[in-house]
Amino acid sequence: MSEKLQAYHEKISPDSLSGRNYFVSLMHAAELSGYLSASELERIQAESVSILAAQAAALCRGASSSVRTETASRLLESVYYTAGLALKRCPTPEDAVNALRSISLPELFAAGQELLRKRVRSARVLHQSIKASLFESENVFYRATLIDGMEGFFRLYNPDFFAQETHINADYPAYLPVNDLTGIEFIEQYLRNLSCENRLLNMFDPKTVHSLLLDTDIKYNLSPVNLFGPVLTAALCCIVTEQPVKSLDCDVERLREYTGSGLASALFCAAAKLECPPQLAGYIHRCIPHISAMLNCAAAEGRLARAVPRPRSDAPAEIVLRDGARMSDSEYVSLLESIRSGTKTLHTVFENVDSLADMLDLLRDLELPREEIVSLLHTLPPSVIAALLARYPAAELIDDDREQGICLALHQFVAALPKSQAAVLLQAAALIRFDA
Amino acid sequence: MNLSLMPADTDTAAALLSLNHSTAAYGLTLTPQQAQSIAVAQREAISSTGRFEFGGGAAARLAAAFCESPYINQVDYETVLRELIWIFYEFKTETSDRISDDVLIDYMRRSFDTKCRGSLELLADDALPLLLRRLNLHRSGLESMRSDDE
Repeated sequence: MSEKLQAYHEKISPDSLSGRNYFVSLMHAAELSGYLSASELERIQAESVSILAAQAAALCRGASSSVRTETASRLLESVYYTAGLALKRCPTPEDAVNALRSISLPELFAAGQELLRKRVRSARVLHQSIKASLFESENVFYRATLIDGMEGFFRLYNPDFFAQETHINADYPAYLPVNDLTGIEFIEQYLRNLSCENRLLNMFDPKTVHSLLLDTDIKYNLSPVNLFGPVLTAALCCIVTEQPVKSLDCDVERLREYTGSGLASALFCAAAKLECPPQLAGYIHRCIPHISAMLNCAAAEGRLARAVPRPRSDAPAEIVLRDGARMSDSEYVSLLESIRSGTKTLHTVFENVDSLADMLDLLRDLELPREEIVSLLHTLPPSVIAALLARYPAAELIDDDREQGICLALHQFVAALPKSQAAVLLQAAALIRFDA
Repeated sequence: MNLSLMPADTDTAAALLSLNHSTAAYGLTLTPQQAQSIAVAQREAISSTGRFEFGGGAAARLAAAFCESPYINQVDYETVLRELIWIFYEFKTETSDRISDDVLIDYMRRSFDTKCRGSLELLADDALPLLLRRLNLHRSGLESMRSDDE
């Protein structure tokens, strides 16, 4: 390493660099420090323009000789993101700056593209393994994000041109959030976290976990809440208080004895007793400071019993709904036509529909405006509203445009109800399970 | 970082001047000053319509496509070309790049010579908005639009 670089060594803190925009932040830091000369900056700028032109031409496939500046800007971000992947492999920011000086941007970009392809492949493999062993949870966001959301990401992700874009909202929150990353880096880290969380969840009986999570939130299954945190907390507390870990039912009174400065070390010791693979053990270690802080805070405020989740012994009974006997196709078509032609009103018809599935089909096929659906909902009994809420918990989980419309109308209707009435409906909906 | 990839005015002007030998057959030529002025207009059009140009620009291609039009004469050749450049880049943006340069130039030329009868106003205000509406209807592409025209 040159003397100049050695002297420069102390000037760039890794913390000052952006994870999302690593290349640009590194360039900025190097420029500020004077480490990159004006001619080197000019060279990088000229190479940037040249790659951008080539990328724009490749994107247009010869059909156009210009693109919108927004598109050009996204393409350039992708070039920098991709080259940044190669630079991130350097052990220190100083080495990365050195690489920036000695390696041309096209070479860095090509190296980044190679890394990008490998990382997309490995993320796909990780996703497949999570899918194959997905913990059986009633939480709709868990499955929707880890199966449908991730599949959507891989379907839409365009590493050749827009590598920095993530495309999906990871609605299901990992216990340790993924910050300051985007594109495949975000997805990779998110999947790694979720892979660990899924492994821990699979160590417990889904029914016990369900019962435990009901204690944290009666409608946890319809909310984007993390499942892993309460389970890990309960498991570690069980070990600390010498209760069977599989029960997830710790002794809160005994736990009080450990709160304070000794709690974190007690939790670390407990984690060592949880037999889990090294990657999961490492993840748990990173989670313990958060759990320890949360429990100590709760103990100091006198609410430790509420902070430690325990399986509910009085868990409300599940309501299992079946779709009921559906009308024949010919009856259905005739009914649909009679409503469309106005010979029958919708309100009258619903009084005579026995099957929830028929009702949902009618709502979907009639493609009613939202106001009309809301007006119709006013005529339905609370039990049917609860069933609809269970069927359509959130619009972002629904692909079909018509069903999304029903869902939005339903939630608009519920939001306009008195809070207590809405809460009862949501609680009832959380207990409903549809029998396949 | 300031990035710009505008075609150099001199390159654009040279490309336009090199067309003089073929457009002269239709009585249309540009002086170096006119070519330079059109090059400046192209740069302004690209910038004002929020575009990034990575090829040579549309000026020379528009000149080559429109030189046979019976509605353009030597007196207004420069003015018409400047207007066509603006219209071209505006519609590239308006159509969200769903139409290729060649198809757009071809459509502009056919409309200009037929339903617009040489009117740039009709081209900008009627023919191209119509193209936009059709493009929204024919999401699958322009082939069916062409058959509609025919």
